[in-house]
Amino acid sequence: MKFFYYDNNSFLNKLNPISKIIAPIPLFILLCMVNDFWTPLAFIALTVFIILVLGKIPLTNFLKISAPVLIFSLSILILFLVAARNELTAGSPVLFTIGAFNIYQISLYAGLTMALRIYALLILALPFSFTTEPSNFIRSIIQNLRLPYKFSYGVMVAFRFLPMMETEFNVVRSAHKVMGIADESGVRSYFEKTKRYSVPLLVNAIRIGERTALSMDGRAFGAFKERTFYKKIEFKRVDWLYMLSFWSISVIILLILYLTGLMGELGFYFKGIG
Amino acid sequence: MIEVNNLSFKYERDSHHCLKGIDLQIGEGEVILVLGPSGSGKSTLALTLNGLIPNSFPGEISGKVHVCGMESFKTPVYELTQKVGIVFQDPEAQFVSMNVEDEIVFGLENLCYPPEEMEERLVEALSKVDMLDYRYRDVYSLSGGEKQKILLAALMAIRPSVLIFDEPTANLDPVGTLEFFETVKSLKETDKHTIILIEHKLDDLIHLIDRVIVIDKEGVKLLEGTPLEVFSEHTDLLIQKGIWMPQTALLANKFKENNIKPHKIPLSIEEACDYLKYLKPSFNNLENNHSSVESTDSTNPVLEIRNLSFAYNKCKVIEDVNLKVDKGDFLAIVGANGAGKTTLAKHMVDIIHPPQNTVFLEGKDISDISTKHMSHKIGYVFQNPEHQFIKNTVEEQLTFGLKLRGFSDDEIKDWLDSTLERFRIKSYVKMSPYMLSHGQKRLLSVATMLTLGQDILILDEPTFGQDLKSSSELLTFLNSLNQEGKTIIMITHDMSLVARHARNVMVMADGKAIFFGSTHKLFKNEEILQRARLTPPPLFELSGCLSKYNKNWKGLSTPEEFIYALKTK
Repeated sequence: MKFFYYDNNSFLNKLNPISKIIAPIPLFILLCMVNDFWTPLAFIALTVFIILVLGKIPLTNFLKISAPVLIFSLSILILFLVAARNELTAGSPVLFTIGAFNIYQISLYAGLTMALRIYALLILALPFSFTTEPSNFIRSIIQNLRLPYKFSYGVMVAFRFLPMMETEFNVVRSAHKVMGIADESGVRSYFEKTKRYSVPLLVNAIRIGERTALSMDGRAFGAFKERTFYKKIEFKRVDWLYMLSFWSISVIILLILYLTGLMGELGFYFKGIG
Repeated sequence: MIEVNNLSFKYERDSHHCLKGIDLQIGEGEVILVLGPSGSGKSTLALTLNGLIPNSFPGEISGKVHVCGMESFKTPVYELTQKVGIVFQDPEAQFVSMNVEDEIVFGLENLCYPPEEMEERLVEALSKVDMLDYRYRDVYSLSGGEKQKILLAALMAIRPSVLIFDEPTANLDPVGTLEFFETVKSLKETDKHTIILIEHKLDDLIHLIDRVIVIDKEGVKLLEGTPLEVFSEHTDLLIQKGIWMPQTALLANKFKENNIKPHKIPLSIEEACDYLKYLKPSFNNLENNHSSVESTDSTNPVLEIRNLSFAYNKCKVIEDVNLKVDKGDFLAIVGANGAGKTTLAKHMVDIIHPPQNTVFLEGKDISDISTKHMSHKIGYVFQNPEHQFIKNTVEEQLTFGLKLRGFSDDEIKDWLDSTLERFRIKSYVKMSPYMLSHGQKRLLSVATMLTLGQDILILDEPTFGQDLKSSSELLTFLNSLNQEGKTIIMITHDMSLVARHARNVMVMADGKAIFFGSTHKLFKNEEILQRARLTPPPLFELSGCLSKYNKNWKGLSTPEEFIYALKTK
């Protein structure tokens, strides 16, 4: 299972996965608090630049993966347009009317802010997920952050498990379908359905899990407190460089926005324009 | 190398012992075959040898196991696993990593080897299984056979002295199996490994075996000896216990039953050919016989597929397949793993929606038939019977279909009684279907399907993972259904099964239907066999070998046909 991982030889690909995770964290917190739409817009641009240029991810790949995020953000915009709370819209000019809905100027503004904020937040994670091979990530956690390897390998195996269980689920569903048992809606059939699916899935999950465990134990997993690594993942100077430049550029962007007056008030709660 | 004294083991929650009083001595470089009916504790025995029992599975253990001079219950598991490596069945579940390189070094990393030595061993292990080119591959891009070889290499990297194979080819197609056996053979020849095989596909590996050990259902050692001793002196016992034997041994046993000489049991095709070449078969009319089977009325097929294609992720899985299945046919669909067999079968029951005007059931377009109606017309038995257990008890599982169709209570009771009798599962009637043995589960899932009253039954790998006994019970049952007029479609890898039971075969390769016709015509067509990565059944090879001496041997592929050819005057 690869999720989004795109295998190439880009700059981001060679970075330590941890630096790719740590770099956007301060920005993540900050973006939760901005209440204008210029700031998220600026950081969306920065993130897209990182993904396309530093990560060398083809534009189509990026668009395909970010489409659901975009749709999610748009639906938030629409929600704001039609259902903004009353004290917010009070006194704001009506832009236009659709049926029973009055669309206020401030709803559009709040909606855009929220939608862009969420879009910016979610795609912040993409430079990491596009360019990090899951097992490299596990390796760097164990090697650089000194997390116990027994735990981290457990996570990785669980990761491998998901697609197997998905396949299992689909097989069980078709197996029941050909027996003429359709999935009906309703509360009672919901419970019946849950039981019908969960027993075979559990039985098989246990069986697969047992086999995996045997295969790991059979190759001396957990023999010693430490283990060596064939592939060393180091935290190199270039990783520091990436994080520091990411932060410096972010500060510069924020400064420009602040000085030009484009940045709104900070806060988790949207109060109104300026 | 390995010494087992009076070993008994009982899993924590089980009421009876899984192994009882096993004594065993295995010398360096020996190749041992362990046979036994399913549930006889073969895998348990393997796990005691590398210490995973009792270390990973709690239970009661008594007796002694010495491996390479170490007493296994007192030695840490990681010491033992460096000496004894096990390849299990189900390659998918054994992988820890996402790519080949990581998988091979996994054990070495756990044992704290320095990276330089890992590199050296990585290359060595991959070359031993002849997979060096696969070093940078992704696990997901490997076939089942390739996966098993990589897992073997992962063990080889630790350089164990003993290798145990626990049904390693269970998920592989015939050619994949053969390739895996070749690898095992090369290990025997070049490295003098001690090898323990738990396997029931015997025909292609019997010549590698030094000694056979047979374990009974109760976990007791039943027989031990060279393959010749075990298969020739104890044939009846093995058959009675439902244990797999080489096809040639089964043939010789049939000869004995029919008072045909020789009574010496051949274990390989060459031997059989040697023993049988003096016999004079009478004229066999097989060659002409088959045309009559094929020329059944094809104008009214119960199931028809017209120009069906299917692509998944832009990858063509099925390409322009046409098929007509006559009422009452016994059709086998064969082909390599990934040839599109299961995908095709899924279209027949609307698990995958076929496009309009491609699949017809009794002349009606399947896309116009409702799911409910479909399920009464055509049944599909999945590879894993557990997927079709939907009720809490065997009784409910067997009767819900009849209740659904509105049968009276009396009728249901009669049917239930006769079915329980037939499958000998009366004592399980109030128990969960999961409590049944593997073979019984399979029979139950077929029986459940029948309660829905279908005329066509599709089975995906019905004999998968079963011992000889439950497998032949199932086939007898399917044959009786077929004689009652039901149409049977079976996906399988087992060519002996095809030879014995199927009337027609459809061969698939790379998503295309490349052959349709009688089994005999298929076995003669080497080009098709090669293209579809199939191997003809061993007895057909024997008949080919014998036909050099007498042309009447030609074209025989089942024990019954051999007897027929010899007995007819």
